Amino acid sequence: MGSPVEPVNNSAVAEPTDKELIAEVLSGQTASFEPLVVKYQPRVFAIARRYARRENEVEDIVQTVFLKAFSKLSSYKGTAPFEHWLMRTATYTCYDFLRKHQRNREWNATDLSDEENDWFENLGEESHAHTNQEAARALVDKLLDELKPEDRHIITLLELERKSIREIADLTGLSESNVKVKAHRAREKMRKSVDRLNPEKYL
Amino acid sequence: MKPSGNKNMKESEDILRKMLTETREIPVDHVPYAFEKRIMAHIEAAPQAAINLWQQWSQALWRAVVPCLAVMILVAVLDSPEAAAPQPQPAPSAPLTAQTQTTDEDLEAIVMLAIETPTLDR
Repeated sequence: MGSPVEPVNNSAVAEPTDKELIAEVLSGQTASFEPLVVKYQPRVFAIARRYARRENEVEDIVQTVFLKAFSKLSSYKGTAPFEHWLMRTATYTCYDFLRKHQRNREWNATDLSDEENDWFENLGEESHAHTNQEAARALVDKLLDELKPEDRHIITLLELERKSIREIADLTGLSESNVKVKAHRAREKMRKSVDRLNPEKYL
Repeated sequence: MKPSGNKNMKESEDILRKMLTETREIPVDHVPYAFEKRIMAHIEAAPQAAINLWQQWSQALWRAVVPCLAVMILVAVLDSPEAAAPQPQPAPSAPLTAQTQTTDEDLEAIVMLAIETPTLDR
């Protein structure tokens, strides 16, 4: 008979904290970065998908974020949670992406797909709650395409990421009042674009 | 008859708000399968590339050692006064005299050249 196997108490094996993992990475154990990637990649993907439409662009953004985070890990002071530092890096990377891929295209009602037209037509009906959310997303993308990168960045943070004005000011380096003014103007422009896109207006 | 609320609903501000709300509700945090492996492969490849660069530089330096030594010896041999103009070897007891004599001859040649070439003294 073999010796009895000692039971492993899983609860006693505590997972390493972010700070411990970061210390290991900085001491040369590159593999310790993987748990950090696994833990935070859903958040980074969520941010990237607010800025890029194509999935390959989203993946490139996320990859850039983690490679930047790895290469600049020594600059992380540990005063704020690692998540905040990483999300800030993600936001900056997304803004860089916006500036490089500035579209500034003006869309018209004739550019809408069938699904987008249906979305407008079904407004106000009971069944609208279950209509295609992807059509709504495509329409929002069209509205955002018409904004300048900085305005788009602010609207994305405010309306889609649900960040506060103070957080946006902190992320963008603008004053809170400046963020408010830019957000108001950008929203006004979006509202006018809705008027232009809405096929119901022309019926 | 449609209620008047429907008309208000179609006001552009409401439409925009609805669009944004629906967009927010779409789940966007899904991750492609084994995406972390892709990240780690890039991270592990990057330091490797740096190491390879140093290795290549080191190999190039070692390869340059032999030609550099050869050039150094060649230059040293050609530059020595004995190799340029073989002269009778001075007596080992009076090396300073021979050197002084060579220096005097060189000085004389320079002065003669200066006299023959008037543009030199301008």
